[in-house]
Amino acid sequence: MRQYETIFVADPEVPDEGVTAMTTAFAAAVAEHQGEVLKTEDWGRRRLAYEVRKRREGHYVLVEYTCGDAGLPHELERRLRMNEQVIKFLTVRIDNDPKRIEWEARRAEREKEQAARRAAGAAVDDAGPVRPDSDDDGGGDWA
Amino acid sequence: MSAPAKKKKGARSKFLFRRRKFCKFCDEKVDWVDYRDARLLMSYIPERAKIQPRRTSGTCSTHQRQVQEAIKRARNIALLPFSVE
Repeated sequence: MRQYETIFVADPEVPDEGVTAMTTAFAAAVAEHQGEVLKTEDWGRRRLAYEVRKRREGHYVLVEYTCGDAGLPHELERRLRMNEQVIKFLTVRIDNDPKRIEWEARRAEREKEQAARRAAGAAVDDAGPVRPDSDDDGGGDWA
Repeated sequence: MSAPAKKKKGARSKFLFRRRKFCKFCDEKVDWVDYRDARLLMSYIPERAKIQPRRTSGTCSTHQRQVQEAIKRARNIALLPFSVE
């Protein structure tokens, strides 16, 4: 079964509940086509590296899912394209790169370890995996 | 590979010595470059946001390819700029 991940960027003017609704709708569309959502990550509002539709910010959401019907990614992209609240999106196939799978597994392990350490009350000095969902907007100081 | 560069003998070599470049990813045993990690990739697009060539960053061919791909993807969803004015 193929797996994909889609990142879409919602218009910053859409309230957070709106974005949650969009994510739910996305998941529903996946389910409708016999797909299964594996993971969703809300990265929150981040600064865009360049202007998109006159916006300098965007609300990033990542969804990983398995592909049910063959046309699923296509259909999802079509819906995103039609949705005026989505300013950008990117779909990447993620099951065909063994290196990535290995990397994801290791990251999950590392995160579990970190969570365990945090639960133990120890201060985690280790910066850990640098992910875009951290407090830094990652956008840098691009003019 | 990470052994210090052996320079030719002679007085000049003292002044010309430069630390040998190494691939940061090989050093840290990274085998996949995450295109969603904007902070990491930022260090490979200095100033004008052009992709830094291997000859300056020292990245090995395998990892350079991965970095290149990751940067291009990240640009696509506005995590990284295409250019900076």
